[in-house]
Amino acid sequence: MSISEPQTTSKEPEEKEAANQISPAVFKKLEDMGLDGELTSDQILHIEADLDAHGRWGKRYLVATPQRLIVLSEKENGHNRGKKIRIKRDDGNELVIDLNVPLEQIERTEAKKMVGASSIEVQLKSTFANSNGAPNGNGAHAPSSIVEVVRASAALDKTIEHTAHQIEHLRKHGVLEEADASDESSWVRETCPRCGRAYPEGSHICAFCSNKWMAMARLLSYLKPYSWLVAANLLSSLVAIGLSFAPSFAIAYLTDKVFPNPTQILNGFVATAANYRALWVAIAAIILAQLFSMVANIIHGRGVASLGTSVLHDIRTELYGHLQHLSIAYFDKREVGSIMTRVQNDVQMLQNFLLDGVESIIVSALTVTIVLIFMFSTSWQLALAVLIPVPFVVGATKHYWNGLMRLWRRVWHQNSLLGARLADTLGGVRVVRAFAQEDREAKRFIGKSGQLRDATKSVEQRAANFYPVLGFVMGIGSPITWFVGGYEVLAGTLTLGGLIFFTMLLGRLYQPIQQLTRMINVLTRAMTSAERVFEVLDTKSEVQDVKDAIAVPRLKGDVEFRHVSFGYDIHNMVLHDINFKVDEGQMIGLVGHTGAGKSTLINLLMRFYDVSEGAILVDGYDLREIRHNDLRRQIGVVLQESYLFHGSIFENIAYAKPGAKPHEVIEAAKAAYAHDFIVSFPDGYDSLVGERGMRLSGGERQRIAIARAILHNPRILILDEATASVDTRTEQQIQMALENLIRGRTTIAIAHRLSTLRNADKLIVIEHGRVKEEGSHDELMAAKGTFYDLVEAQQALNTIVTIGG
Amino acid sequence: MLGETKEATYLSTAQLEALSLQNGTLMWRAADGAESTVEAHCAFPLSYPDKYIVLRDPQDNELGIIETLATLKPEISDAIGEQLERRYFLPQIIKINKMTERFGSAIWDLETDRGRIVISTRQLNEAVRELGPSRFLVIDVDGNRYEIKELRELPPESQAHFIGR
Repeated sequence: MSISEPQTTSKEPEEKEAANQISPAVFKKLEDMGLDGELTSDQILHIEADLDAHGRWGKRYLVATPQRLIVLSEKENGHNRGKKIRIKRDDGNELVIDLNVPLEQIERTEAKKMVGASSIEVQLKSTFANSNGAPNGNGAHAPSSIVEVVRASAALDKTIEHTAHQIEHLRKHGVLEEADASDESSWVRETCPRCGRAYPEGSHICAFCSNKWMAMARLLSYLKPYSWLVAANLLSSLVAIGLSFAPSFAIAYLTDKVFPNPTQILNGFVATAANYRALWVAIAAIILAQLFSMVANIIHGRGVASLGTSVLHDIRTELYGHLQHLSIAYFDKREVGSIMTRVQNDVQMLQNFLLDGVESIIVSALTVTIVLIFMFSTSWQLALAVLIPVPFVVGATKHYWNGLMRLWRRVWHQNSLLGARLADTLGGVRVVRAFAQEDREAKRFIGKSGQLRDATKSVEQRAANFYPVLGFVMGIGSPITWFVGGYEVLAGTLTLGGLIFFTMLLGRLYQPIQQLTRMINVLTRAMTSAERVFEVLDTKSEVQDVKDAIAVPRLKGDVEFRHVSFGYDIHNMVLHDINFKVDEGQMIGLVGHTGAGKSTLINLLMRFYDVSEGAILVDGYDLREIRHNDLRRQIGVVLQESYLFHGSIFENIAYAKPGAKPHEVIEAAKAAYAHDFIVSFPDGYDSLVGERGMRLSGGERQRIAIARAILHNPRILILDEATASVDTRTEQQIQMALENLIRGRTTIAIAHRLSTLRNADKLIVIEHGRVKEEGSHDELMAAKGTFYDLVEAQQALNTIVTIGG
Repeated sequence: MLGETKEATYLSTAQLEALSLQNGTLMWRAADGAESTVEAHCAFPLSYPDKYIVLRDPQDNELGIIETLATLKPEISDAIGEQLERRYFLPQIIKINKMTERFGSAIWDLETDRGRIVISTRQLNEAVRELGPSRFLVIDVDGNRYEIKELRELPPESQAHFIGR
């Protein structure tokens, strides 16, 4: 995020609302130039770049109308450059025109990505460049009339890319390309409308101004199903805390009512039976109260544990279920790993809070309240005096504790680095030995460990300051009480028992206040986590069933692509006007270079994404109108790298058909030529595979995946490079397995080895996202086109491999 | 496009004669006399920003490697330096005015060689990458990077702000 001037950030909300409106200063300048006629058009593009012509932080504006491209920057103020900050206000600084080119004089507009920044370059038509001299706003020199018009930091990469694309569109068609409103998120740098700070990647929660109470309220709504537990909890903790004051009461009572005061002792006090009885009763009351308090504490503790874990379980289940149903596009836009860590961290944070934080807050708050009530009802003057150290306790805790937490995080981080270092070298122990680097690794480890020692030492030493200082501040309460309370006792306004009661309460006042102060931090962090979790929960799947989706329990398997165009983001179309038809039971092969768009075609058929234009028809129905579940259930896929879950081979094959009987699984495995090797494993079908299971060769995994697909019994089958990662011999086995799988199903196969597509009914050659050729293997070979070239090239390569290898 | 050559071609002083400046643009004259523009890339942008400069033609074919900019004619090395400065945007932190941390995010008020900027980063230990014992990269939430070349050369207050991370 780059806020050039912190004071101006409050302006952001209006700017955000009017993202496409030109800032007033720029508008005025353009008006002065007599361009107001052009500015009324709604086909105007406007961006604010964050780097000036010299590559320093600053503002620069680009405005494109259907007629021209204008770049403006703020007039430089020579002596203000350097370390001094320039105060930038939209209305204050004079704007100068860096560039003013008619669009018709532009040959091409291009976004150029650099390292840490990007720029827009335009190539001017030679006539214009020659007559005007290469207009250059940035001191760079371009011979072939290529001019850099704006530059921005990496924060605006997407905006720059989008803008370059739109300028081209404006230049060619006179209008801006209409973008889907939801697509805006892919190019507009998203900032919090309240403070202008950028949102964290993939989130719309600003940690600085989000409303913590909203999240709190929502988190509390998860308590609803457990309201009786909540009530029992509160009650038990109230009872436990209340009872814990019984000893103080009893002692105060004994002091005032049972034990003799000095005057009585001087007068020769003789204890009565009533005195002894009272002593007995008081002690019994203390023991009983402690007993009940213990019981209440147990109930409370168990209640909190049960409540916290239940709520957490509910949130986790909801989250997991929701993540499973989000569209693939959601995961594409964000890194799966980062979603996982974020969600895990946030849930962990909530767990800490729900299990420990809430308990501690409730107990501390109740204790403080009760203590204050008792204190003020005993002596309000003394109570006020006792409150004097409170601000210091709060202040010291806030100051020390937060600083300490920060340092602790640093230590934890270094600790984890050390762990990573160790895991790295132990994991790579063979490499370390092979290169005889043991000593160096040891030295590096010692270095890291030394850093950790220093960091830990400094934080421990700081912590060593904290508690004594806090102890001193809290200790001040005691002399205050004895002094003020002593005066009151001497003056006769307070009994000795009252004073003793007070001193006992004192020990229970500062500690919970300190605890509460610490909890504020935990609370706000937990609420931020809660908000992020809720945000994921509130994300709607982009690919959704339409309201009256058609149920198709059994597909025939006719597939038709009708004028299909598609791009993962709107400026970057991957497929253009794709047309082809596959009849029921036919097999077609998709052929083309890497990146031609074959896998994208398949993603569309699986409806991981929806087409941008055109339609995909299955059995004559638009894919978008068919019920999601019906579609997925009847499409099977075998990918290049088949993913096997951690579990037995049996479970993996039966994954597509829960509850499959053993004989069905065996049958599928047989058809996939997998049965024999499975049986020869010591544990047969019960052998564990997947991440922590036994190692399988690529061919074996593939055949298990084929068996899974056979059992799934789909109507439409997709083979995505199913034989790419295995050697030729294994390929033959897989090929035979595939033939069993393909029989009777509509099959769409992508294969790198073109020979494997010989049996296809039809081949479709895709090039740069378009259908280049279509026909049978023999037809295409005879036509001597792209396919022929591909086959030739592959054969030549095979010959080399054969000779060389 | 040409395949990658097996050996690195370090350009000799004689070969470097093929570089010239035309209207301020760096040009390369091939053996056959054809001229093309030149793009300079750093092979080690962080460890050796002014050494091992790879020159490429607009089609990304490697023309050769310049071992160090110091041996070049001043105007040529300036032109290359300018190109590199444009391609590699890595503001250098020269002072940390203020750093505040809240809720797992941090706000840094920085003076860089590209001017003053206020950035926000994620939790500090995630945002700071250690390049050397006292050399760091700070990565903000937008993915912009800022370098502290030598922490010990920052003003003491800035160091304190940073160490307190």
